[in-house]
Amino acid sequence: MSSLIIDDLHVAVAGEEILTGVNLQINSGEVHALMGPNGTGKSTLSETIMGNPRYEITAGKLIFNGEDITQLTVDERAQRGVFLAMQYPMEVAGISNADFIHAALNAQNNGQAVPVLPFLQKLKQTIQFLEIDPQVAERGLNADFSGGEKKRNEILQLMMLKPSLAILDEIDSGLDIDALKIVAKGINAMRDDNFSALMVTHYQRLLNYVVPDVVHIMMNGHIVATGGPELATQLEATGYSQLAEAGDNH
Amino acid sequence: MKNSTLKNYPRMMGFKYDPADFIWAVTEPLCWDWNVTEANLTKFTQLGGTIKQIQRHNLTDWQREQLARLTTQPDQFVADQLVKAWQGLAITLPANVELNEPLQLKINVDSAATPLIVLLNIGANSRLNLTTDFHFTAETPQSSIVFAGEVAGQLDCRTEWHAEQSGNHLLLGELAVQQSARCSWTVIPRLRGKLLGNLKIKLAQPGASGYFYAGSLARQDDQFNLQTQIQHFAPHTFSRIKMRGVLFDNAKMNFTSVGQIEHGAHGANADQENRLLTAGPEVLGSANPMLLIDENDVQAGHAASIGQYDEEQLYYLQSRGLPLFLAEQILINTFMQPVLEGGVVK
Repeated sequence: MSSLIIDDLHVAVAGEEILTGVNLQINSGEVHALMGPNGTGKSTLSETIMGNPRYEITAGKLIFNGEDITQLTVDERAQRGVFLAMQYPMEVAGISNADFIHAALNAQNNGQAVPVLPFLQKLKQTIQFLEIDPQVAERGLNADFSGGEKKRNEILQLMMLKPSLAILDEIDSGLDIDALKIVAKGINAMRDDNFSALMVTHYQRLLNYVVPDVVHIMMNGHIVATGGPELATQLEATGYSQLAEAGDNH
Repeated sequence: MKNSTLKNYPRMMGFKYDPADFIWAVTEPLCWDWNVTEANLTKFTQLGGTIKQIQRHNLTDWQREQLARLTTQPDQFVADQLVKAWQGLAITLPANVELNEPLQLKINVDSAATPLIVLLNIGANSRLNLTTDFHFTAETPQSSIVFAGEVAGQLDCRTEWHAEQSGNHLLLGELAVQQSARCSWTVIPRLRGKLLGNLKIKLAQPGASGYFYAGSLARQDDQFNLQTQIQHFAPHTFSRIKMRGVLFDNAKMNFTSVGQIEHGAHGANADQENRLLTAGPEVLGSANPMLLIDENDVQAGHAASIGQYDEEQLYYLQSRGLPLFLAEQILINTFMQPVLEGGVVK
């Protein structure tokens, strides 16, 4: 069971305040969607939860499973079950995709080596499930991958590492409908009482396949509206303008 | 040693070095041995190849000619080595044969006040993949290794130097590549202490191609000074140099790559890339790609960089739970990969 509590979070980047007091709670088993116009702080929130050192928390707290993780390093948060599927995954040719996932599992197993054969069998099954080319396993991490391949590789890592909290930062961007369905299949396969997720997205399309329990709208660095899946449908029809006034009154 | 004598030693780009660190009087005889796996050696000799021990006083005319060529361009370090009571190996492969399996040569050196020389002779249309591992034991505070020879076929040569303790090491040599032949030379010094290396490939005849891949990690107070040079003396010759180094702690490293295109070498194509990764607080690195061109109809390019770990890559690796030291190791592997996979022509 896990929970994430974001308590009055203020975040600055290069001295400029981007998040202006975010309050959010994600309970175990819940999938939340976070929507909002460009430049409103959604990715800043994602990166801050993961602990990207570029983002400075100037006020507020992050409480994960009852523990204050505000000062923890990136790898410490990952070892506690936080995972970020990044908007722009990095290419690192010096380690294969398979070895990287294995190294990550070892790191999250207190440095103890995870048995290789069961790992390889599970990797093979998951690669097949996500309809990924099996040769990907031996290629360098994200090396020469297209944007869509990188996103699928993020979901492969998600399914292998089994975090308790997954933040998916625009996992649907740049995907055709077939790739989107596969990514959604992977996310839905993770859903259970011990898994929670925060999906950052611009579009309703993803939410047709991964139906969220809660939808938040972020504007001007804080959350201005929260509701059920119908909030996203309403937004498709009305746009963000009606919510702008609510944001200004925060 | 007198300053006037020290002035005869070559200047190296980057930071200053003291030639006296690499000049030593003979105090002990060279003590060394070599071996090749039996299966390898059998196949090699079946093809007509030979590996013979040589010394200064029992050379063939061809061998004497190869060593004389080393001093065509003045180099006092080379001249110093050749007048000593050196020993070495002559490795020869006749024309028109191919050894598909790598020939793995291991050379153990227990004391080395005098040079060890390796002479290579690869016949026309022949192919050899040669790996040479030099191992210096704790009793070897200094060493001089000199390579010389001719490549008339295809040679992929990987040379590594391993030392148990800190010392002063000289790496010298020149290989001449003949018509339409290819020489790819990967050099990996895994040494501690002070290193001075000056290695050359001479593209002597039309259509010849040469490749240098050099990679090294310097730690603590190591001072590495490595220069690789490919000289184009004939038309339609081709060269590539890639050098990668990582510096930790207080290490100093100078990587210089020289692409030299002589007059008459029209149609030459030379490119080089020199990159250093600084991973320590007080390191000093110098990356110097040089092009010396005396011909108009050529293609030449170079690139150099000195930088730290990519913060975004570190963040990505750590976001999966990898601790910082492991993430850094992966980035070092990524950085060194282009030279550690060297020797394969794509």
